[in-house]
Amino acid sequence: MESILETVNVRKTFGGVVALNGVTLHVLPNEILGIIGPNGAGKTTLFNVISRLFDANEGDVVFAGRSIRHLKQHQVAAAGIARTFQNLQVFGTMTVLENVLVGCHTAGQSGMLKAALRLWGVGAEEARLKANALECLGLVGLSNLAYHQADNLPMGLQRHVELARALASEPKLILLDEPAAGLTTHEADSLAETISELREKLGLTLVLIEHDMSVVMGVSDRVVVIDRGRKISEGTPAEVQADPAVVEAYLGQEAGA
Amino acid sequence: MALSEQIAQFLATGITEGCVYALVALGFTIIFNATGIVNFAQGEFVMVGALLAATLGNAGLPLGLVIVIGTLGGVAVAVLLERLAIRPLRNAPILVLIFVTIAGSLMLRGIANLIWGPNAIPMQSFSGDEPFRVLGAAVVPQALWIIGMSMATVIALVVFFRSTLIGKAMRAAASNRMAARLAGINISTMAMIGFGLSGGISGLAGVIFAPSKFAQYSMGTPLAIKGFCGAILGGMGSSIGAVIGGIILGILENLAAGLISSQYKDAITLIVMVLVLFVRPTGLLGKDDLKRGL
Amino acid sequence: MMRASREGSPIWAYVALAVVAGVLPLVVDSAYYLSVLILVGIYGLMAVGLSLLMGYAGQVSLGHAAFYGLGAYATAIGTVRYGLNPWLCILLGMLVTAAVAYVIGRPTLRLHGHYLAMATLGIGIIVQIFFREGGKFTGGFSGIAGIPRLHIGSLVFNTDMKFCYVVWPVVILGLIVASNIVSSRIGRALRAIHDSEVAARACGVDVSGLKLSVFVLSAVFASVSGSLYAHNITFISPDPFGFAFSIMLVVMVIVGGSGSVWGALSGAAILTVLNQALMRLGEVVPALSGLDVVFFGGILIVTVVFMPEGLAGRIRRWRTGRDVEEAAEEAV
Repeated sequence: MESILETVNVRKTFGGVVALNGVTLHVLPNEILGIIGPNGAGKTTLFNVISRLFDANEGDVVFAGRSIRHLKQHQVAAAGIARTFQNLQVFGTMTVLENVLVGCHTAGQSGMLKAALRLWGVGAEEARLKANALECLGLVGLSNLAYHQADNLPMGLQRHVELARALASEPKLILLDEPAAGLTTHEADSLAETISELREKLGLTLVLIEHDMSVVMGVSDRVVVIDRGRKISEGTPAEVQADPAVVEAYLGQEAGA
Repeated sequence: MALSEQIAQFLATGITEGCVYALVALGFTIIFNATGIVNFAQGEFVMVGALLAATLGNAGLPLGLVIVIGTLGGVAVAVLLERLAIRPLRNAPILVLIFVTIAGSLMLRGIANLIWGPNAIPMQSFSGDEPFRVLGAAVVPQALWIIGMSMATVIALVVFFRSTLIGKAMRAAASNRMAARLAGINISTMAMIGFGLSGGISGLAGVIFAPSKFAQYSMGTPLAIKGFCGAILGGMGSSIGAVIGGIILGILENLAAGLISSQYKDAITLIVMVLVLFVRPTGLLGKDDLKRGL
Repeated sequence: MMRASREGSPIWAYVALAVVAGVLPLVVDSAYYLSVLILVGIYGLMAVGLSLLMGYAGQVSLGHAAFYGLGAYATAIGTVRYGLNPWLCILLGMLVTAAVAYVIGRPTLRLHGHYLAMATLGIGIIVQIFFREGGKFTGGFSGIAGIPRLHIGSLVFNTDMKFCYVVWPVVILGLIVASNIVSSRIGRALRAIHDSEVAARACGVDVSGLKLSVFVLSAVFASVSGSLYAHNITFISPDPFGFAFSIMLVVMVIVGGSGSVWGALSGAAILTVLNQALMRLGEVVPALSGLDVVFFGGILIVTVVFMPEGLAGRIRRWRTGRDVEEAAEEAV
């Protein structure tokens, strides 16, 4: 099966620090891939390279058969990749519904001129976007909070807002950066369920960075382990958990050695 | 006049004017480091010093006293601004605080206009006006006062920041507020001291500058802008950068005005600043942390 | 600052404004008040444009007087030096200003916070210096005089009363345009930029492009204001187009509430009326002639301290607060 996303030997340095040291991985269509690794391993940097926040120093990123290495940041959504952020980037002063509507931005065509003059078609487009947004809210269970201001919500729900917003652009692939951070066990379980459901219902591919092992091991088809900018293991959750290299990366030393 | 003599003249004037810009830039930087604010009222601190010096000097007070009072005037105004307008808003977004300093600048200008009137007030030079020649340039004694006192101030500040406890505390607070707080440093007091210090330096600049440029209620804004350009050129957040930036700017201004066109003298500084902001906002020596103060 | 409003305005608001603006010039007798009415319109139009930039996109500009000046000078030079049709010159002014805003906007808007503020400040002053030192082209210090009046057919707008009927339709049009943008997908994208640029980009919003568009739009609003100003006063000099005016504009937007286009208009109205009154006072009582500047500073501080969301924000809070109270009462 051909991968939907591939990073090919991606290398990223910041000044003297090597954040990613030739990371090659692939993501299969419709799978849920977990990315784990100790803090500072470079996981979020990898997401940032894929979503074009940074340019890779070397290597390529291929999505649906095309290199996306030269896309501008704002072209990534239209290409089919959406993401959430580790350090919550909801649009705080806007309502939940509006947050998701911004997620629908790529589905609209009316530019400033059309908007300014309220030309024909703007109303219909807005109705279409709103319907889509409400549907996304329904998928993550936020329908009854649509008109609440986003930064009034507790963090767990704000993470759901980000998820709904990511869904709104009808992506093929979603990058979730620590979606369970700060959630209670109960909330994290519910999130894992939602992620599985989304994969089923919408045929999505999901890649998630997580530290919460129960979530990532429970929901992922495959897991990739990154340590100090390198991929050190990959396989099913069970395989990875048993891999001595992984144990060493987390514990520093092979247990019992 | 031979070209080399002309250039020497421009350099001499440039360095002299540059010293004042350097002091204003330094004042900016101290406040910026202490609070993260860009202080638009900086020029008004200079204005207060200049107006006080001119008035008192013309009234016959001895020079030493005039210098002290002018400097203290700057300190007083700065501390007042900090206590009355900045501190109550310390948690507001930076842009709001910038507008507050703009407001402060407007008010100070207006009050100065009300008290001293709109006209420029001349002041006698400290030790006469007989120019002497240095490498082909005519240098007035006041220029030596300006350069000498500016350098003395800079050196005193360097010593203050490096060697005294308060100076080090200020640097700590500028570097990492949370850690400084945890170490027992009173951030709020540091901010006030920063403003006071900055006001004092600017007040002093006003005093030594007044004989050459005349004291006037409107002198603050153009000086602030040039001082700010100097700070940007040298690198926001770097004291040494501010001084170097100010002096370079003074030299550039005068060279350009003399060799190219005097009409666009004011524009030169601004064009340099805008170019620096476009190309390398951190300036010559600035810290790489572009987000500082945001 | 004020949380930007998301709704378009109801039609009756425009109608009410049109009625007031249509009737006032007919009933107001004094020349002074008529000139104030015109100034409120001219400044108001600019403030509305600036509020799109500041309140929605969240970008500050301390140099907008430059665009005001470009509009004024473009139409002055076009009509006086080249004898072109005044309406055409206003259009040309808009194009020239848009071009200038586009060119300087690109590098400028990459900056943030006070770097952006200082860059706009610097550019504003540079443009004013260009007006001052432009030699024969711009008329230097003395500026340009003899700017022709606007006319439609044989109707010449040569009195302030008549000129109100030029300015205020334009203002209302500007309000409609701004309001439409605010309540659209673009308005949403702008507010998103204000809250989180990185997330906006991840949603597909072309942040740099949109910031630039809003910047250019706000510049064009200012340009129209400048052109109207020139055709009203019939002579211009570099003086009004400087830093002080840019600051005053920003104060108007903040006082009125940067997140509301009607707020910006109100802020312009209040401050213009007060400013003109104070200037009058300064003429009558010379000792108080510097008071308007002090006053502006004071108003800004008071607004920022006590009412950072501006007038419009405070009114909205009062209204939604009242709605909450009513709902609570009904629930009891």
